[in-house]
Amino acid sequence: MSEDLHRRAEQLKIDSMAGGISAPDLQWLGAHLEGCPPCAQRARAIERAVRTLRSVTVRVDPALLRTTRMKVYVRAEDLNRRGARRLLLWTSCATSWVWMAACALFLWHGFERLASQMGIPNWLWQAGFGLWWALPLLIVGIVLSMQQPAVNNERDLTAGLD
Amino acid sequence: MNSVEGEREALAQSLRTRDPEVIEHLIDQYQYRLFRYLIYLTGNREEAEDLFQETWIRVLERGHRYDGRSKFDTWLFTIARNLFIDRLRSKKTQVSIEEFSDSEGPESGNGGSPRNVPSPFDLVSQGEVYGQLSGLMDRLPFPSREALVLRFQEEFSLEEIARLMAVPISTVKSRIYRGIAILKESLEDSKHE
Ligand SMILES: [Zn+2]
Repeated sequence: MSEDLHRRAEQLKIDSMAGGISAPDLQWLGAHLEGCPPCAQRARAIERAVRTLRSVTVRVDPALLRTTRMKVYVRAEDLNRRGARRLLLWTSCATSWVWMAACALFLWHGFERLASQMGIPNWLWQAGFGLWWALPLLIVGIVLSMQQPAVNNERDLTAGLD
Repeated sequence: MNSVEGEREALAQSLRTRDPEVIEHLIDQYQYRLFRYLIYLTGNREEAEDLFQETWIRVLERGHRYDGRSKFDTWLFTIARNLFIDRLRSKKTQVSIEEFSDSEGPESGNGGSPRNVPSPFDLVSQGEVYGQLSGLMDRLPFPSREALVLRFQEEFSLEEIARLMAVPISTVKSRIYRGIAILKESLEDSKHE
């Protein structure tokens, strides 16, 4: 019998265990194994290999589970706190913008009068008026960036839970 | 929507709430499978334990990204795998990421285990993982070992494994084929010893 046929039998045996093969292939394989003791032996070895693989068990340490749960709770609390703080910041930022938009005309005239009294050139006070709008965003940015080191601190804290 | 899809959708919704109780429930449900997979992936109990914790924290943080369309276990294992690959990348001195790909063959010297990475069985072997398999799996190339575990222990379909490992199905098949061939030979050798 050609070597290719034995190789095909082995390939089909593995395929049949890994993902299934078509009915004609299965039929061919059965017939081949019946008439070819070496391939039948190889097929049994393949089955044994897979069986052995399936028999492996691993124990999960209960302490690992406790630590994991605790870390999850600590992180969830941290995320909630952070989320609430962020929401508060953005709400105040939005409120400032609404308030500024409502007073835009008044502000514009205010800037204009102040600039003329202090002898400030038009382009400068107009740029200042533009920057005024970015002020709430700037404050939010500063506050959020100040929160970053806190993340690392809390990581260190949870590292101690082991 | 059938009941399985309904369950996944419900899970996706509850993950969006970042409720730690939801994660706790999932830990109870998937602890064993995830840990077993990580043991095979890392070959090291300590690292597997670290990754186990990181994976669940990541599930909490990124839970809103689970859309419920795929199976949760595939998504979970993908997170664990990505964390592991990130670690490999950051530990360039120990193991290069190429060693996690298909570059090595079954004939390669140490059987394809990355340099300096102990076999899962060296480190988890205190009487718990086992049977005849001791010392055999570490002869397998990394990708084959992972494919075998996903197929025969986790019972993922070839399509799911391909998605998880981000490779074509044909590659998954060849990894499994190679893995079984080596495992079979190793078992035969050990029988004759
Ligand atoms: Zn034959």
